[in-house]
Amino acid sequence: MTSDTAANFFDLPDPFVKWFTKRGWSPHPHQLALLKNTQEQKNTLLIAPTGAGKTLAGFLPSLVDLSTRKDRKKSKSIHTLYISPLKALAVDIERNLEFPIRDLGLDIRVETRTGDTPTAKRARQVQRPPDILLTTPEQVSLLLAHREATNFFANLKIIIIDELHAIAPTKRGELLSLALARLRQHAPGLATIGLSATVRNKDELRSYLVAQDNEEKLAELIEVEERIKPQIQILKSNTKLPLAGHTALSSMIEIYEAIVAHHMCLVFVNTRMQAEFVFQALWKLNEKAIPIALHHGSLDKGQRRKVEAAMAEEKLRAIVCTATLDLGIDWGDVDLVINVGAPKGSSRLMQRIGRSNHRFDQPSEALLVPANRFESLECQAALGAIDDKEQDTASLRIESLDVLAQHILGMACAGGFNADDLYREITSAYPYRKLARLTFDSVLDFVATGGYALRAYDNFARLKCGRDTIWRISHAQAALRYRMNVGTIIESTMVTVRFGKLSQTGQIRSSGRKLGQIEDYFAENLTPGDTFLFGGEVVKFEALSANDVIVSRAAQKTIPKIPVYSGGRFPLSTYLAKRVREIIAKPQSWAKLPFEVSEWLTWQKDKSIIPKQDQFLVECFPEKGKHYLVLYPFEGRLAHQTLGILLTKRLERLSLKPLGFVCNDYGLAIWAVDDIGTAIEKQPKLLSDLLAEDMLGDDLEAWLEESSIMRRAFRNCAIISGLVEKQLPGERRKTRSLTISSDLIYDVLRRYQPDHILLKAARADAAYEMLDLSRLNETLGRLSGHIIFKKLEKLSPLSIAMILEIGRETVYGDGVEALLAEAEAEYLAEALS
Amino acid sequence: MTSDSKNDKSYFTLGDLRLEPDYSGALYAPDFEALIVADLHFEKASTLYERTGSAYPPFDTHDTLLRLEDTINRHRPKRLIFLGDTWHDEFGFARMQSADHQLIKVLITRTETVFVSGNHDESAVGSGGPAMISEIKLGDVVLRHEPQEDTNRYQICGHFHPVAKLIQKGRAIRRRCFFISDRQCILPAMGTLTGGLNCLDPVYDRFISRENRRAILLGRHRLFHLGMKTLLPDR
Repeated sequence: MTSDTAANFFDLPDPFVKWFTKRGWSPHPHQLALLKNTQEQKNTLLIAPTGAGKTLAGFLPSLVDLSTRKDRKKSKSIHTLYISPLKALAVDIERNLEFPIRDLGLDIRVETRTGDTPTAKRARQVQRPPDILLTTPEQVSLLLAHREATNFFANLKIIIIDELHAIAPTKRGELLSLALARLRQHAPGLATIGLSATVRNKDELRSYLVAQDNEEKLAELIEVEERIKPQIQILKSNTKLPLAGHTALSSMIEIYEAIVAHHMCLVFVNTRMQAEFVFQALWKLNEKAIPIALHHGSLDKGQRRKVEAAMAEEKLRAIVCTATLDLGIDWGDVDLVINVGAPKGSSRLMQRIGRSNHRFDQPSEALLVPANRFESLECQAALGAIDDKEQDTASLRIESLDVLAQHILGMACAGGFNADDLYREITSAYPYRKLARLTFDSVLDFVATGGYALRAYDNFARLKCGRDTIWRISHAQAALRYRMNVGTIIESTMVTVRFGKLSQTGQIRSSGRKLGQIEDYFAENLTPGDTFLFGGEVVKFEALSANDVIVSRAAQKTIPKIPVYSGGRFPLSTYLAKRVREIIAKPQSWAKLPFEVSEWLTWQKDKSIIPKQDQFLVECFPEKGKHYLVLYPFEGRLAHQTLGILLTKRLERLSLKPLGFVCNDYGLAIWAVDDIGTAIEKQPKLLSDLLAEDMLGDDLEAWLEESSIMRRAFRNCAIISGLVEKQLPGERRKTRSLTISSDLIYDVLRRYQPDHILLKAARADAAYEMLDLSRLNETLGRLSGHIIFKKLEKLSPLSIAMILEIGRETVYGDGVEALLAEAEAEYLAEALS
Repeated sequence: MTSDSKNDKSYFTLGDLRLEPDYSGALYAPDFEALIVADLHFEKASTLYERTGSAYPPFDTHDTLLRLEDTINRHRPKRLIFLGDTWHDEFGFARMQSADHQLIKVLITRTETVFVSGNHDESAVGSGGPAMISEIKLGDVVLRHEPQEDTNRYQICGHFHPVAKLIQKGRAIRRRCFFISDRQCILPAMGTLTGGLNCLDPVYDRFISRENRRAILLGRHRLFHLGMKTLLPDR
C-alpha cells in the first residue's frame, strides 16, 4: 500500500482516535485507506486474509460518517447496506457492531433483515429504516421490488458486500449485481465496498463493484498481504497408501492422534458421505471419548446449530465437516485444520486452512491427509500452489437469463420500467455488460407472455406496456408469486430421514426420531433392505412414507451396501491438474513423495510410459476377457464423464462394442468386447479421430437432449425464472391439477420451440456446471498432436487406480428402455415358470 | 397376458372383450373396431395460465392431437371413444387454436365419435364443444370416466392417470401405464402435460380388483408388461 492512499490516523474524528488510543489499538493502514476511499465516494475492493480486521474496516467509514451527521431525525432512508451470503453472519455482525457503537456513544440504529425476520418487524423497518441494515442478497432484491424502495434507498451512502469471493461467481452474485445496478439509480452517489479473500482474478471483482459502460471500469484495490505463512504438512502415514478409494481409512489412527494433540480441530472432507465415514471411523478409535462432532448440510438444522454452539463454547475437540463450514462466523479457537482427501483446488484449501488460528500474527496450522496415491500427488501439487500463491477461484458467471427474468419481473413489481432505461441499467452490471438488446427483449417477452412462438397468451400477459412506454405488472397475483419465489438457490428436494417400524402388512407403524435429510434422488433409488451411513450410524432403508424415508438401525457391524463415496463435489481445478501433470513428468521431483507413491510411478515408468508434461497418455490392454482403453487427461471428473459418454458413443458407431466406463479426477477407463488396442495399432489415425475436437458437436447435443443433466438444469432455470413455483421445504406437492412438472414442459418445448429462451438458459447451465464443456474443449485442443499410445499385455500401474473404481454400471443412450425390457423379461420369466 | 407376436399385438380380455393396448396410451377393441382414449386434457396450459399466471408452453393441445392422429392412422378404427377429461376445463374448446379445431374436426368426422364426460369437462356445449354422455357399454364392459366402486364389474375408465415406478440397476424409472386387473382397466392419460398417480396408491383399491393386477408401461415405440411385485411407490 502506498502512503498517499492511506489516511492519517488523526484524520479520524476525535471520539474514534480516543477510542482506539484508550484500548491501546491503532487502526491498520488498510482500514484507514478504505475510510479515505469511501469518503471520496470511491468504490473499493478490500482483499485481506482472515483475522485482519476486515469487518471493522468495512464498517469504519459508515460509523465515522454517521457520527458526524446532523439531521438525524429526517431520514426515511437507510445509510449503510451490509450484504452477507449467510444469515448467521449478518446476525453475528449485529452483535459485534453493538460494542463499538455503545462505547463510542453513537446514536446509530443497526438492524438485521433476513428470511427469519417477523413480518411486523419488516413492515416497521420500511416505515422507519435503521441507519445500518444487515441482510442477504435475496432480501435486497425483495426490498427493491417494494413500492417504498425509492424512499428506503434515497440516502443510501455505503454498500458493504462481505465474502464477495463466495457470492460473486454464482447466480446469486448475478442477481446481486443487478440489484447493485438498481441501487445506484436510487442513490447515485453511493460507494461500494467489497470484502474478499484472495482470488485469482481480482479485476473481475473490482469491476463487479462498479457501474460499467463501454470500457471496463475498476474499483480501487486495497490488498493486505498474509504476514505469516501457514504451516502445512502432508500426513506421513505408517501404513501404505492405497491405490484407490477415498476413505483414508488407513490414516484414521494418525488423524485421531493429531486431534488428541491439539486443542480444537476442524476435519474437512469433500462429501457428506465421507464425513459420515470419517466420523464413524474416528469414534471407533475414540477410547478417550473426547468430544468429536459431525457437521454437514443434510443434518437436521437444530442439530447443526447445537454443534456450532458447542464449538463456540469450546466444548468440542474436533468437528468432522464438509463445505458447510468453509464460510462463516468464527466459532471457537481452532488450532489445527485437517483436510482429508484431495484438496481439489488451492484457493478452497487456503480458505479452509484460514479457519485455523484467527489471530493475524500467528501461523495457521494444517495437515493434509491423502486417501490414495493420486491424491497424494494432488496434495503435493497444492503445497506448491500455496507456496507460489497461485489461486484458482472460479470465474464470474455471466448472462444467466433465468436470473435476468426474475429481476425484470421484480422491477415490474417495483412500479414499472421503461425498457430502454432498464436495458441501460442492466448492462451497467458487470455480468450483463455485454448483454445483447435482442436477448434482453426476448427475456422481457418471456416474462410478459411466456415468449412462445405461438402467441396464445398475449391477451392475458403478465406484464403490459402502457401508452407511457412503462411496462407494468397486470395481475397482483404475479407480484405475490415473485415475492414467494425470489432467489437463485434451488436446494435439491430433500426428504426427511426418520426412524420407524413397519407392521406385518407393510404399514408404517411408528415414526420416531428425525435423523436429518437426504437428497430426493438418493432416496428415489433406494430399495428396501439397502443399508447406508447416515448421522454417524449404519441404517437400513425400510420404506418411503408420504413425506419421510423410514429407516431402522442396521444390525451391529453391518457394512453399508450403498457406496460411501459418490464422487467429489468439486472437480480438480485446472491449475492443480497442471501441477499434478508436472510432478508426474519430472522423475527427479518424485523423491519428495511418499515412498509407495514414487515406487508406483517408477513401476509405471518400467511397465508403460510416464507422459511428459505436454503429452497425453492412452493405454490399451486386455483384462479378464475385456479390452480396456485408459486415458489420462487429468481434467477433473466432470470433464472426464462427458468425454466418457462421447467416446463410448463413437466406439459404438465404430462397432468396437463398448460396455461401459468409469472415471475419476485424473482419467477414465472404457471397456469393450472387441480388441480396441489392435484396432488402433492397425489404424493409427483412429485414436486422433476418436479424440477429435468435433466430438463436442452433434454427438454431444444428441446425448445432452436426452440426459437428466439437462432436465435438472431446466428445472432450476424454470424455477428461478418464475415459470414453475419453488417447492418450499416440507411442503406437500401442490394440487396436481394446478401444476405441471418441469419434465413435461421440457419435453414439449424441445419439440415445438427448441430455441426458447429457457432451453438456452438450461443449456448454458448444463455446459457450465455439470459438464465442464469449456474445459473439455480446451483439453481436446491441447491434446491434439500430443497423444502417445501404448499397447500393453496387462494393466498398467496408473490404470489400476481407475479399474478399481469399476463396479457401478453406467447407463447411456437408450439405456432406460433397455432397463425396462430387462425388468419385463424378469417378470415374464417368473410368470411363466 | 397373451402375446401374439413379441409385444406388438399383445392383448388382454375383460370378460369376452378382447382389448389391445397401444404404446400411445390408447386401447383398441377389435370386436367393435373401437379406439378408446382417455384424459387428453386439451388446453391444460392455457387454462392454468388464466388461473395461476404460469405461462406454460401452449403447444400441449397440438402435440396431443398429433399423437392421437398417429394412433388413429395405425389402427383405422370405425369408432372413437373419448373417455372423459378431453378438455382441461369446460371452456377449453373455445380456447383451442383454429388449426387445432380443424385437426380435431377432421379426426372425428372420419369416425363415429363418442365423447364421455369427465370431471374436468362435464359439458363442453357452452363453449361450442360436442355433446357428451356419461357412459357407454361395449358388450358386458362399462366405459366411464370415473369408475364405480364395484370391483366385480367389468369396467374401463380413465381419470386416475396411472403411472408405474420401478428401480432397475439403480436407476429410478417412472412411466405412464395401463393399470389392469381381472375385471378392470384404467387407461393412462394421453394429454401431453398430464401428471400421474402411482399404481400402488391405496385409492385404487376401491375400484380395482386385487386379482391378477399388472401394469403395462408406455415406452417410446412399444409396451412393457410388469407385475406388481416389481413396482415401487412414490413418496
